[in-house]
Amino acid sequence: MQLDDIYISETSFRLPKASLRIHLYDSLMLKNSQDLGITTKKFKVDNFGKKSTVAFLDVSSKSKDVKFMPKKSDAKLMRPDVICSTICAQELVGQIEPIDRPKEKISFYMSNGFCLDRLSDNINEMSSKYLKPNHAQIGDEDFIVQQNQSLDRFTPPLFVLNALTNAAQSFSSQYGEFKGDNTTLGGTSQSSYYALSEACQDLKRDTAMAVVGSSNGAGVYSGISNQSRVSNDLFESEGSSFLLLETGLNIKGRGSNPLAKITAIHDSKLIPSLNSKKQLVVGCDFLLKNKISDTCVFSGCYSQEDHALVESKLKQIWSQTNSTFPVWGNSGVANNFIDICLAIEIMQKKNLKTIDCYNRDIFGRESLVSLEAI
Amino acid sequence: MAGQNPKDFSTSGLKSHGVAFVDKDVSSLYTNESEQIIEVAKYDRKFELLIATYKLFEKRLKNYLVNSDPMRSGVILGVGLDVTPIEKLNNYMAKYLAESELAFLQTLLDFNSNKDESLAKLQNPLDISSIYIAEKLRLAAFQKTLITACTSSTQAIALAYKSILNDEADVVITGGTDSIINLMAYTAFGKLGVIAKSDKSPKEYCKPFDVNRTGALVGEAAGLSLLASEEYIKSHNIKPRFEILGYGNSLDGHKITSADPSGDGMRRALQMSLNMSGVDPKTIDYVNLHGTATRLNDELELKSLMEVFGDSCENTSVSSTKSRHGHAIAAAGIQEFNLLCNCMENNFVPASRNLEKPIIDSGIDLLKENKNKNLVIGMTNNFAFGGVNSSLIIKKCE
Repeated sequence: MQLDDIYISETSFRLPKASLRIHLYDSLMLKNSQDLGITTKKFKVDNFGKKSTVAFLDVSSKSKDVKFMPKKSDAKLMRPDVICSTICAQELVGQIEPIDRPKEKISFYMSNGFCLDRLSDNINEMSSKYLKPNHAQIGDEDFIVQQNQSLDRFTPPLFVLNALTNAAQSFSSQYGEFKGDNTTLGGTSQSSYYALSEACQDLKRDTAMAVVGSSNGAGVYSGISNQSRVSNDLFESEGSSFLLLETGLNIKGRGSNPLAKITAIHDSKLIPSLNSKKQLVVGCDFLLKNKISDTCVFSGCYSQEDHALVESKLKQIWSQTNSTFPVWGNSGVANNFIDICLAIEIMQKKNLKTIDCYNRDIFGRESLVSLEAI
Repeated sequence: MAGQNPKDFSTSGLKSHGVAFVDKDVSSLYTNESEQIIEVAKYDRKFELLIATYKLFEKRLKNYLVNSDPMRSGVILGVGLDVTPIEKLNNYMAKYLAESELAFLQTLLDFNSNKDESLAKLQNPLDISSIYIAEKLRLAAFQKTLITACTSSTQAIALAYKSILNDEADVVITGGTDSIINLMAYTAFGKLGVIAKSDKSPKEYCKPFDVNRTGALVGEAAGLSLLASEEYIKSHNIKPRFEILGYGNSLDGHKITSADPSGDGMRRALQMSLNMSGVDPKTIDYVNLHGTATRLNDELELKSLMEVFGDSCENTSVSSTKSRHGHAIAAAGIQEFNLLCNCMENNFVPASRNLEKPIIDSGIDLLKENKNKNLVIGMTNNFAFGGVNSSLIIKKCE
């Protein structure tokens, strides 16, 4: 889709130990997460030795996030990625005068990754309590009553809300006051492309301001779910990322300076497959046809080996390639908008006129977002 | 089947009993599927319902898609939360119970590990349904999955319509699937206080819009619908059955735990839907309400609807059908959309079953008894946890 009047006016994101675009830019000099002091955790994701390394968000009331930290009564219902999304939502609109925020008319499209990872301890406890008694007693009515009551006792009262797939959208809407047309898409990085596409459609039609956001959970559950599609050890991180999009007219009206213009968004229109473990490839023809720059930011790699392979392919298409994978791995749905944050910073620092952002999801669906400097 | 005890687990000892479930063994519908798909379906009930639904309509859908352009054909489904059916993992879990505090995760590893990795039973739980449909029908334009809880499939229909309106696609398969009929979800929703509690038979205890309502009847469903542009319909010689006139989507931005008591978000969704459709509320013959039978929501929904419709709703027939088929959460939208279509085709307005003492007795036609009525324009509304409000307006084609 070619676009001629859609601008990015604010960005906000959170990754482990990173919250400013300059952090992303500086990370390009680093080789791994240890270089930034990020603590990672390793999980077994199959019975044949495959592992997943995960970097978790650290939500600390001592950090600069304290200004936008949600109320304690809300925070207890939130996963860390949801807290970070809520912080990003507020940070995003914090610079805009309330009079310039038509909250009932701001479109809001979210993408959400896995929701159960931070709840796996709860699930483990609940399921263990349910099954702990002697199995010979199965079928005994008294035993079933005892089992069910035990499960009921150990089920947190607000577990459903903790696990809710649209929790990040709900809290971001509450704290950021975006109340217009909306949805939450899940659960791979392609859903962030779709969220951006929905927002662009609204801006082309009759909307002046739109927010796109993403909230990514990561851990053992996502590792187990994704492992069959990846040949080597996985590397992923939690993250949240948000963009404020506006039409040129709206930006002019409120006298703002946009960060970049989105000139086109494309996806590869690949029909994904469930049945076979297809080799994830890079669609060179699709990229050569649609790229507008000699520089790209890329994401959508799942292991170190995959990253090396993708990078070598992309170097045949772009002379300059950039990726945050060595430090944060794959941050799922958060990747796409984080790439855009990094791309804006690269354009500013290197005085580039254009840049492309490439992503590929776990099913091999590819997307390309092209930006132009202001 | 409404108001029965679940098949796969007992509710003895819990505060709520009874569910509305698909009582046929649907596995016979997909016996020709690959081993992997069958294994995933055994684990994930919502995926099983989706593929069974697809198989029922496969021939018809393929007929409609003859000579369609894959690049202009897409799928958008609403689906529910990841599932954790502990009652299905009993055998795998047993060996870890005595010695491991991480029994559940060990169980998942065992359950999912296979030397032939293409046979993994646990896959990305949110995307598999839309990808399954896309792969079967060669839908390349997009494969979207919406996860806005009880509005998921309502929004899926709305966004499918939007994609055709914006010329992104000629034809879109839309709908959704969900089931919370597993012990962990049932217990968790029960703890949240949204499932009806009563000593009566489960068939009777869900009472939308009744002063004595105590909550929802847990349900499950999957459903599909095909939306196509006017040009596509003409060029493929398809006789359309309904026209989508418009939709409304809004966010409360209030609290995750409850709807905005002012009803502002609900009113905005309904108004947006009316504005986009360009219809006078007076001309809407029947509204299928969300009507979960929870205390706050039912009252708020009726109040919001009456405020938006104004004086013109005296003759508007409204009801909730959830006391019949239960609350299918992410699939509620497609279930009630398809039901609305069916009612409109038959000029039949279903009453809210179990409604004895309505919360209001005038100002709107809140049905206690079924009736026959000429239905031309209909509306269906759904509202979700997290303050998402969605509304659709459709017109029967002559």
